[in-house]
Amino acid sequence: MIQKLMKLSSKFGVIAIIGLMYSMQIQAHGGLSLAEDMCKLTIGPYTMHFTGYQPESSQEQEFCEDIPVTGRTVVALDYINEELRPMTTEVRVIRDVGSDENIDSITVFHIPPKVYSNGSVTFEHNFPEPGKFVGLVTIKGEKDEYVSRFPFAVGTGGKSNLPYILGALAIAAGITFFFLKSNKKA
Amino acid sequence: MNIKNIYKRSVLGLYGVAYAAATLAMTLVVDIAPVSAHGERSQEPFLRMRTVQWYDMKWGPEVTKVNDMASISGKFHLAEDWPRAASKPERAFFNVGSPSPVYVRLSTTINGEPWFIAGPLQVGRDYEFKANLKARIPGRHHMHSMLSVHGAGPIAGPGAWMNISGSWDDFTNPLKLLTGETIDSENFNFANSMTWHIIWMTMACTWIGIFVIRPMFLPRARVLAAYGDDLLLDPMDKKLAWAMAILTCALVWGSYRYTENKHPYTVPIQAGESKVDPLPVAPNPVAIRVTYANYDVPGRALRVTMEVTNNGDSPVKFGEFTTAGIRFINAYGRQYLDPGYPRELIAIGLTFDDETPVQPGETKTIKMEAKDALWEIQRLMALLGDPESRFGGLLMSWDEDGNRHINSIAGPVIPVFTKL
Repeated sequence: MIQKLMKLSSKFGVIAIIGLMYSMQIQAHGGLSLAEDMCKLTIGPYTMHFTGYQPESSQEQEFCEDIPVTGRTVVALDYINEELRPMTTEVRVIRDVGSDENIDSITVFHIPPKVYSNGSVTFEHNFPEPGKFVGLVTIKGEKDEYVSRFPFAVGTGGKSNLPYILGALAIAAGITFFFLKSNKKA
Repeated sequence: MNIKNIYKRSVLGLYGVAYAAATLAMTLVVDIAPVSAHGERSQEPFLRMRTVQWYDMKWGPEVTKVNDMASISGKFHLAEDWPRAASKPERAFFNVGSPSPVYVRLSTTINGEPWFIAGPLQVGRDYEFKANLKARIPGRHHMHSMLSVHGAGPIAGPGAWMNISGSWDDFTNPLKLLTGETIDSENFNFANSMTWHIIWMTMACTWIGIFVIRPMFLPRARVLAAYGDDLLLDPMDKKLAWAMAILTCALVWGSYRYTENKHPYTVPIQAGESKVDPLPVAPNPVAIRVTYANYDVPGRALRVTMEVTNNGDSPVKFGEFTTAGIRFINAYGRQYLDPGYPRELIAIGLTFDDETPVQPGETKTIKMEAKDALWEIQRLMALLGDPESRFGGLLMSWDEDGNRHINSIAGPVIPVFTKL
């Protein structure tokens, strides 16, 4: 009886973990996350819509977080909150060396603070080689200042479908095993 | 496969259902976020840009007490470039989109005439509407005008926040009946409707319960498929079925007679057709032909090249481009902007390469740019992935006397990446 209960509770445990995995937003990229079908950059109480493009390799296909290949990369940050429009926005991309000391020496790209009244900050940068970087977006109003920090990698090759394929194969194998076993019993 | 095996598999199936329910419950418990809008941004851009083109919209007042009146009014143009994928408005119904019945819609007029049932509307023409609302549930609500087109679905107009103060408990909606009696629609016959819900639900649960205990559906279906109905033929089933059938018929007939006696005067649900003539066509001396359009993907800008002719006797100047409820305005159009229009739907990034007025008799080529993050935030440029990538909207110009001319423009649009 106890063995049965343990088996049952372990099954529920697995399901609970799966439920949690699907229910929580992934926070591995700092302020940048995929939420409500949109790539969002959180800066203090505000959010921006982050979109990355690599026109030469993938035309208007959008990416969030990591940059698939090296080369010309265009990024657009669209203000979701109206309150951001009168504020200044500063964008900086630095090499991820584990520390922000001597920030100027590790800066690879910088846009000074500026007001974007049409609600969209667009910039492009050429990443000549793969590597790890950190994006820093700073907004400043009359009283408040917020910084969002998001680590990202360049040259990751994009998202792989391998985990999905392996998952589908595992489910199919499980179903086949279950039916073969029950047919043998019958 | 014997009966025992069938039973085992049924139990296994029930385990599966229990696991799925546990997963769903876990997901819901851990990740619940409040929803404040109605997904209007998810509606296909071609429906929002090239079907019902809303303008002169007004919502008011900003705050209404429970039981007080509010209204949504405005005009809409039915685009000449109505998409092939959507049915034409041969049967359409005007409504208000709100998060549950927070207001009670007491009346609607189209071009000043009552509009309480669906009817035909004409593509290429304009209509003026007003919906009178009575405040019911306190809170801050996002309210839309909406035209439901048979075959195309509900097409939402721009939304604005309207506030209701007070207490829901104070809400009343008294209505005088033909018999002279006054009822409150908020709680009229509430106990009666609850009683009938309980009666029918009890009967339904009883009927299902009978077959759950003698035995369940799945084993019965498998036995029926494998051995026919001889094994399942039970005289008690027949008796129970007859009892339920007689009870149902008796309840329906009895309640019908009771209602006939209690409410002898009734008005049937109206099933006719509202027929309203469109607004008269306003004289418009401005003729526009779109020759080219593109959308700068990272720049969030629609660029339209057009040939404009002024056939009037007064110079005209462009000041606003409206699409999907978003108003792109320039410095000239700002003077005509209603300050009550939702700020989140106003974009100031409208520019023309030639800002000088179009003189009487003159034809010239003008390049317009409508640039703002709203293209992306409102998910309008998803149309670039549609098989028919066309934009649409209303371009507004004013002459020297302040007379407004409205042109519905449309055309194919291609995506570009302008070098920054």
